[in-house]
Amino acid sequence: MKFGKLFKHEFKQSFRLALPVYLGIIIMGFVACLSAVVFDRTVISGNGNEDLAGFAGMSSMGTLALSLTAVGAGVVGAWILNAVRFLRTMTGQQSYLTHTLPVTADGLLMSKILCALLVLLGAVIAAGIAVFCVVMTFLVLESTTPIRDLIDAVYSLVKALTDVENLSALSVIWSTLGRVVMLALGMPMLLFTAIMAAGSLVQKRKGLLGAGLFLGASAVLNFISSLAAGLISFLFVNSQDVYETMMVSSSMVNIFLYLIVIVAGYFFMRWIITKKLNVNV
Amino acid sequence: MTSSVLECRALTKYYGSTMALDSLDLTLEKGRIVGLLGPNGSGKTTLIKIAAGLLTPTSGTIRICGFAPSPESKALVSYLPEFTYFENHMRVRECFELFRDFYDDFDETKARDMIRDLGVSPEKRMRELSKGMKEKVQLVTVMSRRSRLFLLDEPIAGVDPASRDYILNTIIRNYSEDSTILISTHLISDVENVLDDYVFIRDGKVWQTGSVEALRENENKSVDALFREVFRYEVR
Repeated sequence: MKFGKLFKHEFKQSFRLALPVYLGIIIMGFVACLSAVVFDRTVISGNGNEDLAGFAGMSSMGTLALSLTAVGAGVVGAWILNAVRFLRTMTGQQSYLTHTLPVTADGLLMSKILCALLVLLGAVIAAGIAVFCVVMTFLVLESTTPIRDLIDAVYSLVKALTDVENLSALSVIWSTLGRVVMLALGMPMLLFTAIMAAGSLVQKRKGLLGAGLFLGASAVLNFISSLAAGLISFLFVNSQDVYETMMVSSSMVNIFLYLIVIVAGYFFMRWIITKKLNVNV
Repeated sequence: MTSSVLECRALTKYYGSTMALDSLDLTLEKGRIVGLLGPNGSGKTTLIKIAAGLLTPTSGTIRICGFAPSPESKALVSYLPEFTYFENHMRVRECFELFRDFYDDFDETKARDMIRDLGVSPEKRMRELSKGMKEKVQLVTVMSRRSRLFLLDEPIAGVDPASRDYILNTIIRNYSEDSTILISTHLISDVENVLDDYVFIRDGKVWQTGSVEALRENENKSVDALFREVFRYEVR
């Protein structure tokens, strides 16, 4: 089964690069936690020395902000790693190996997309762990009995996430989640398509034009489907219920359009590989 | 199974408005070492890339052992490009593992023996090797397959004379009567002794083909001398 082997090699090479990024994200999360503790001990709890408290407070808050920014940058970094790896192995020098392997275009694309999604998922999980640690640190710092308050904090968080009072609010949450998930799934496809179109066609200008048109069209579709309901509601509708219904239905249209873009992107890349491949380094 | 390993009919390739191959016809039989010779820009690399599956032709057909370029044809072709294509962080052992996983005809024992002769540890990473050594590792990997068609694009360009000997010896040692080797090069005098046949290519067309032995016996000429004669006015 060649797909299994492709996936194995892709996974190995992708995660070899991604693991240090995950580690960096989690370390930055701990640095943020430490900064929060320093801030709490020097500013909130007070130590009698106002100058020291002010200096330590500023530096710890600065570190906290920087480390949280670094957590976000880590997720973006995982994106960049995916893009660079895709570029190198599909259109760069290493593509001479990739495109001479006895595998189908579908196997090649699926293994790359699946690994890219896993790399992104890993980065999101690592960032989630880091942010969760920071939030918990803040919650725990507010109490004198950390363990009991930690349990309370987790309970409150779960309650807040699940205690939805009506269906409309739940629908809004689900539609938002749906958009986020579709964005995460669709973006590697859009990105890869752009790179593929730009780098693989014979005439680079045509390739860039194709990529630009594809990305532009998908962005316009996404924008229209996201905002149409809101604009119509704002201009013509006064009822809150109708507004929420429109937002939910618009998100369904949005997801549907995004799916079309993803499928179109996949078949576009497949067409390039099988019919228009021109690897020239 | 057909005896022709490579068959091109009216093969044409354009890069934008620039024509690289002009309705090229070529047939290579099995068990031959063939020199693909021509001046710069004559279409040698384009032909090899199309046969390897890296380019799609604009028109015409190409068959490798009866297969159009596809996973089936790629399983029968062993391709050596002008530069190294393994990722720099890969260990030599990992390069072999990759070939073992994808090519059923890869002989890992042979590759390991050849790499030991070169004095390279399988645990070495590609980035730790010199440019020449990387090329040799890649040559060893490519030639350790029992492929039907070997496509070697400028295998001896830019290497020292000792390395040229190593490369040519490796090619000859791994040649079998079931396979065909197509070597593209400018350095005709260096490869002439290993060739069975020659193919002169010019402006994307096959200009002349023949047997090296027949050329020597009938016309008392070397391929190098004939090449100079044919391409005397070719200045690019």
